[in-house]
Amino acid sequence: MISTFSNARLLLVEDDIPKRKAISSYLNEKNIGLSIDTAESLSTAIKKVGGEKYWIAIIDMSIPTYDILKDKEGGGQPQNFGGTEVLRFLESESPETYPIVITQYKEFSGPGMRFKSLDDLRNDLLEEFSGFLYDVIYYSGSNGDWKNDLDEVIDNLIKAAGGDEK
Amino acid sequence: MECLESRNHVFLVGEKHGFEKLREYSESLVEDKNPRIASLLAKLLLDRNNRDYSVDAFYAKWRAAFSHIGLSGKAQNYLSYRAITQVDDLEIGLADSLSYDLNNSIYDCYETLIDTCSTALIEEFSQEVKIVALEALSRLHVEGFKDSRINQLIFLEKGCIKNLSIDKSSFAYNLVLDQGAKCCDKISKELSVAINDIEEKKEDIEDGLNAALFYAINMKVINLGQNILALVSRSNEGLVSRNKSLKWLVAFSKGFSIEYVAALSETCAIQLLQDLSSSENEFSELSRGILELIENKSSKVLGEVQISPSLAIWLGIVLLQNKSFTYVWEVYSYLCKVEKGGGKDSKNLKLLILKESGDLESALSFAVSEVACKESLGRLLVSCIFENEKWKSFNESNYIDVAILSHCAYLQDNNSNTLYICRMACRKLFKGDILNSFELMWNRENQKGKEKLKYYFKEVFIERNLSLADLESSHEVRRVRIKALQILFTVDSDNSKSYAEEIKQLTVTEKLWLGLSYINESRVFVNESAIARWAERELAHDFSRWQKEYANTDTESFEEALYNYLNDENTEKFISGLNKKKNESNVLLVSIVERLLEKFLSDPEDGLDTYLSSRIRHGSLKGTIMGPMEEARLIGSHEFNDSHAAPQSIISHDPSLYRTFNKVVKNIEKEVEWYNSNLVRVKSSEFPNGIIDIVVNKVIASQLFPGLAKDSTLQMFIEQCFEVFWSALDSPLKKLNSVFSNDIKSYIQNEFDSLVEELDVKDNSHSSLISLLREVSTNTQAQCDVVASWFLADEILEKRLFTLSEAIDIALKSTQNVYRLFNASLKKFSSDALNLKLTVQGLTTIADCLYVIFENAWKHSGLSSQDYDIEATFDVNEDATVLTIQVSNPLSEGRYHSLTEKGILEKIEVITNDGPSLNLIGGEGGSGMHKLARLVSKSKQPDSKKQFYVDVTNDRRFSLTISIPLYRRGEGYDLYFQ
Repeated sequence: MISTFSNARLLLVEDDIPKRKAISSYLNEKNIGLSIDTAESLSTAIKKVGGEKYWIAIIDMSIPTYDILKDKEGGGQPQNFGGTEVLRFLESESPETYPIVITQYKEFSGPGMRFKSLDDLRNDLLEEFSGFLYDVIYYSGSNGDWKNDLDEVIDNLIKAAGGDEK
Repeated sequence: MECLESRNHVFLVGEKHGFEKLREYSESLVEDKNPRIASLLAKLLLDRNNRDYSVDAFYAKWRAAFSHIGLSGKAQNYLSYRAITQVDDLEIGLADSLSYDLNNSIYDCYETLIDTCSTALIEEFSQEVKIVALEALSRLHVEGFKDSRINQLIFLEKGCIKNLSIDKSSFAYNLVLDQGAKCCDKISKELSVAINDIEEKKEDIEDGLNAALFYAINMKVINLGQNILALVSRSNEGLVSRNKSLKWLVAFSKGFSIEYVAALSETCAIQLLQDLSSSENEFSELSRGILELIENKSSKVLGEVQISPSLAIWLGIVLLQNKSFTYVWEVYSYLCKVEKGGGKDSKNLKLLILKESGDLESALSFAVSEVACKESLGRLLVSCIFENEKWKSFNESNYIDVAILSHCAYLQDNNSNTLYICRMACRKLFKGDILNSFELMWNRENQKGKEKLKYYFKEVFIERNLSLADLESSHEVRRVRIKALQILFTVDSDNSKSYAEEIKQLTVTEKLWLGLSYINESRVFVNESAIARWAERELAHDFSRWQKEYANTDTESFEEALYNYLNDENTEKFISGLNKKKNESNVLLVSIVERLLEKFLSDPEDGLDTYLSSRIRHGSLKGTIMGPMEEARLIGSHEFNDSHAAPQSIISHDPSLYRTFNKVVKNIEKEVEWYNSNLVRVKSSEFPNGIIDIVVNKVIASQLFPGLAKDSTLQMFIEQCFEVFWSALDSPLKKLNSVFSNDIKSYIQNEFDSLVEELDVKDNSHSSLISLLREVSTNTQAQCDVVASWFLADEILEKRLFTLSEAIDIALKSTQNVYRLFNASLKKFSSDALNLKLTVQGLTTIADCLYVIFENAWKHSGLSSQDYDIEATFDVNEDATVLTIQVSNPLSEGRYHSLTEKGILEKIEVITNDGPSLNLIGGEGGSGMHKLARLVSKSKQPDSKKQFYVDVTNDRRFSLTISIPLYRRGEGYDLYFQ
């Protein structure tokens, strides 16, 4: 069962085209009345959050600094945890947004940091963004479990906000 | 690998007789023992004692050397530990080293055991390991081992002093100086200067640190070396975390001093103080005073007894942790009085007090006044201000102060949240138009304010900190950085040289990327001017005939026919109307268009398919996509060789995994190769899957083109036709873009995902490999976007000029983007030719030419990723009509013989003598020389001089000389494939 909500905007921050399309199509198919914006990089996400009010933001962890199409040098300095930067920005500049992290990795590493599992990441994020980050979802291109997880999260949010059930 | 005696002997020879004598001694050893391991040891020890090396450079060199030996991770850890006493992951590296020593009989494992136990206890290994380490030390003690380190380490864990002698001397650097003083005069003097530098100087402690580290690594096997190392670490530690280096000092000293309580846990320390205060001993009164202060009863200990600065700092920290702000300010005042040097500890304590008492504004203001004052740079541990704080805590503060301090703090703690605070402050400043209001601010500020502004623009206003400033690309960031530097250049004349140098560097980078983008944007290319020249020769007669016939024909224009169709919407009538108009003269015009199109798409020298071959299919596409895999040494001749990259060795050591991995790599290679060879092509009977296809509908064309041709010159008509062709290519090029940005990308992702999922199920210990594969997968997919962008390139609007020198650097970078491990150095020789100005057209042709030459050196020199020199000489003739390039690269012995003995050179000479085979210019595989030969086929060099030739010299170098015609265009020169 999924509820609907109208006149609300969702920001999908994801640079990977297949994943972005899959999530976007799935949300559109569900017809829950959300208007979906996308951002492919940290800079675009920040710009969009600065200009619009978003009810939900679905955020990937690894995103480039700039849109690859605009930055011919490969998107600028890599942001292994660029998603965290978006979360921090949302927390300070748009605290009414509900952020959801969606990642296709089960393990994380980066320069100067120790290896992290998905659970480690979830715990770290939930600790840093306690009371703000709504959920962390694992995405896999080969199975659809993420759809159920996303359904559940959005359904809860819609219910909490007083949306209609269908 | 390393014997303690050798280590000490070499060090002492160097110290006593000087480095030249040491070099003589070591080099004779290297020669005598070569190729034995002792020779390697002699080289290593010589490097270690060479003061031209920084300690970092020494470590970097030898770590890189070990990584190329090809050992397993465990063996490499051991080698690294034994040879340079450094391991990557302490817990794993020391365990590996200890197990190696326990299992062989060459070395006494005692020292390794003590080192492991000390590290486990002091560096806070897991609780289980700490318990085992303590147990090992206790057993050594019980078994009667006489080693002061055992007692000191047990004391550090338990706080029990019954096995320690009492030593009243203050320990810290005096201890090291005392020990150092027992060395020869030279060492004693130099150590004293170095340690004073570290402990007391306010700025530029680099020399002191280097000198101290030099002695530390050379004397690490004796307590003095360990203590120096601890002092060096101490200089970089915060007040709160300082007890780690203190523990190292305690572990390698002898006996007990009251300051040692600071190295204990708070519980142990208080217990010990209580024990000392309740019994009669020389510390009882002092201990009572300290306890009274900690318990907030009295601060008389600060007035009555002289306590050392290090103990005062510890007291300050304990009071802060207990939120006892009154007494902590008293400790601060006391510290200000007794501390030597610049008072860095008292300043750090003040900063901590301000932060812990919640007075962030005062903390910021105090810290920035210290940081902006050059002397304190790096000495004030400003990272404490940002610990556990979020941006909102600073949203109302002075953004320049916040940006400067969070920038310095990030350099200290590498904390991403601190970096975010810095980026937000920079965002606020940038969006507040700081660049344009700089002058106003500058004039308003006093000297201190000016220093802050200068520091902000010079050190903080950099790419890393501007990622939230709403800029859209690295190019834009460089643009604003250059603007900031230009401002600094005008206001800070003392440093104008360094600003000018950075501006120059950024400008070079800008040009490099601009050139690379031109190259990428011109990958889908047609030599329109060459085809136009052909058309003017071959089509002029027919075009003129058509124009005459058309002028005598009364025809309804296509526009009129279309207008009539749109009004009555009768398709049949429209088509039959069009058919009627397909008269004989228009058939002639359509045939002109078809011949032009055929040339445009498939001319073997100048057509689209030929450029798709030389600029995309010939290695570039495959190399670009597979680059990250090659760079990670997952494919290619370097496959798994680099044991420095340990995750790869997991694959090579597991046959089943190796098979699975190879299957995935082969699948990806096969898929990319298939798309490259079959789709990125002009469609033909030979290549029916080619996506590039323009179908001329004769009926429509016979109506459309007369409208374009009737009032045009042939030249104008050709240009219009080219425009139509490019418009028609829009759809197939978009399709190719989509193939690479979607299909191939998804394919690669799925292949990596399935590999990772398989690994995941098999063994959790594959985490480092999984992490590497994830990274390579992401980077490989990003490369698909790069390739996809080649098919949707923007039109080149900016017609800039490049010097030949810039063009060569761009060509080298472009080749390295395809062959990631190609690291030969290019040495350019020329008189004035390097200043020759080239158009974008000239740049792309030079890039094509040098790409083939560099690719040959990479693929066929037999030297692969070794570091070697490619020498290139450039020369322009007197009337600037011909550019001659001579390039030579070394050959491996095997390759030298195969070139000279197997007739390969003769085969190349056939191409250089007879010119290229047209079939091969547009093909791939053994076609590089044919592509090069195309450049010179109509060169304007005098016939007597060969325009293209190759040679192999006796000193095993492959040499290639090529002369390319130059065509002046405006201020620059074009270079064309003829």
